[in-house]
Amino acid sequence: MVSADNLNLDCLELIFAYLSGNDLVHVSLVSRSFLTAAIPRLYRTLTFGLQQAKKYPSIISPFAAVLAHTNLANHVRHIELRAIPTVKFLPQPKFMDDCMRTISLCKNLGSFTCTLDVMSSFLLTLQDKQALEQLRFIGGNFTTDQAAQAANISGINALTLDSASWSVVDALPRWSATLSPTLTSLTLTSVQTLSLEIMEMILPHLPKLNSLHIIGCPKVDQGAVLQLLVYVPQLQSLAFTSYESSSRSTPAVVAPLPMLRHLAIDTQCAPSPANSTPTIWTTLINLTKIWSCPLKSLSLKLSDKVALADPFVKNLVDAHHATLVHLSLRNCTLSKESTKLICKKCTELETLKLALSAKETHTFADSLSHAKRVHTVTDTGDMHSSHTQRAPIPKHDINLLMTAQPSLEHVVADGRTWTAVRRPGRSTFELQVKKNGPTLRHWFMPPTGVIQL
Amino acid sequence: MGDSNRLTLVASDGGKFVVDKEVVQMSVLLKNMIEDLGETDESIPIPNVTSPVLTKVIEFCENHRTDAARTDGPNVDGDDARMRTAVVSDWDRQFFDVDQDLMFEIIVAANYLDIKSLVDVGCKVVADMIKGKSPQEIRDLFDIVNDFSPEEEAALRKENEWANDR
Repeated sequence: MVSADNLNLDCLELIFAYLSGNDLVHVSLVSRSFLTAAIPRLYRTLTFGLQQAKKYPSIISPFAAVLAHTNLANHVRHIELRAIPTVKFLPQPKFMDDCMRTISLCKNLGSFTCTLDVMSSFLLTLQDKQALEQLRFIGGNFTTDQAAQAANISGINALTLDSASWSVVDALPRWSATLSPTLTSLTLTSVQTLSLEIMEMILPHLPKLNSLHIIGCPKVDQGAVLQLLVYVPQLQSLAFTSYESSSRSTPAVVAPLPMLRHLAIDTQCAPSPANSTPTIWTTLINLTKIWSCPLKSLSLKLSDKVALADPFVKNLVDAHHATLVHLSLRNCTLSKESTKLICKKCTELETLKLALSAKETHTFADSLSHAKRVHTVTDTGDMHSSHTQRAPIPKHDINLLMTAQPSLEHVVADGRTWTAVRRPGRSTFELQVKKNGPTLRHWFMPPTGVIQL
Repeated sequence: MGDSNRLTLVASDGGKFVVDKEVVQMSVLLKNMIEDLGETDESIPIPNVTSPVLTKVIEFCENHRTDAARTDGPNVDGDDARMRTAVVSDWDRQFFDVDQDLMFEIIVAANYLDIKSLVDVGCKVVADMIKGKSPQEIRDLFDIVNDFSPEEEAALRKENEWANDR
């Protein structure tokens, strides 16, 4: 007789592949056979965040756990360091040592993310990681030697640098030469010293680049980015920041991106915003029409709240209605007509991110009922009222949306995800709610599945 | 006999099932076996699967025969920290509304016969039963004996604590 207790390891592992977070911890504590089946997934990703750092050293770090059972290191594919315990404002030495020794043991490490400025400690151990494909770190006040070590890290597919220091920017042209055979995605955020000239030194080294995201780098504005496109004709994903106060003019001729599938524009409004749709958005939508690149994903964000003009939305829908799967509009409001148009015409749309207004839930539910396959709606909130906590979206509003659109599965709002569990043969559903875990994902990155490798 | 589009499967207890070839071929194991055998009138023994289980497996395959070949999602090879996802239809949920022994035997048989869609759906159904439950609740649900000593369990709990709320 087969039961859960004597189910073979194969099947248990397959079942646990559908679990995550606490559920995975819970199954590991059930019995020895469950533990054996849960371990590969439990130790696939080592994360250390604020939750864990607060409890350190009374909590055992995942790195200390791996050092205690070194065979666990074989399972580790991803390491995410989001917080570090400190002593007198310096990283706790034992923790850092455990972390470095663990990295050196993890032969299969595929991605390393470090959102604290301690990257220089890990450069040496990361150099000989054959499987390492994704690297993301912040700052990196490297010495000349350390910058040279960084430029030696090879084999990376996706590199993300947040608030990179000048020494990292200085090393980037050399590093990009090292990464020439592999790099497909480059993301640079809030890099003050990044300039058009440096980008012109970097991009010719990167023939495989299909994703370029330059956000919040004041010297690389919309005009600079459009000039750079000539180096990256095979781009599938592009994200950039436009500054309405920029004095640089946009180039008269822009190199086409026929393969573009994801576009994200972050617009920093001028001090006295015109309260109209940014012209660069219209420019880009018109360019995508000329390039005849059917977009699967579009993300637009503004620093000041603006009502999107109906003709702009109509133009956008006309150009991409047949292909758009993901649409994200942050800090802009839509008219009732525009929302309805998007839901009606964008027949492939699956995820929609926009500011939900508590007062207009009925209107939105009505628009949403016209959608064909939207399964996730995310409230991007009112970014500027984050200090003055807005009342969370009430349950009956969520119910209203889920009832209006039978294909809707998730509504993400106020740091929570509402899920409608729909049962066979019944039009009713059961509503579940779960707190969202911390996410490191940048809003402007392409959703999974959009980029073709 | 002699209908080249149909095959006879024989369960471990001798039960015979005449099934469309197209349906049988949803099992990668049997598909390969048929290709190796070539045209034959011989029945195919399935020594690891009993009649009640094979009945259910065939029922699933007949219901899903018209499905488009499932394209593998981005996470199927497993090298991703994210969860796997599978689409479980209303029909699938009702199909698995059986006692636990039969549910697990179907999953084991599907894994043995290499019927990916049935394995996926079955595993998702079991995973959904586990979600949100404590270790003890999971033991009670599946009637599992805790084979850890209290000390071992406490040590393990402490060692895996970092993985909570991530």
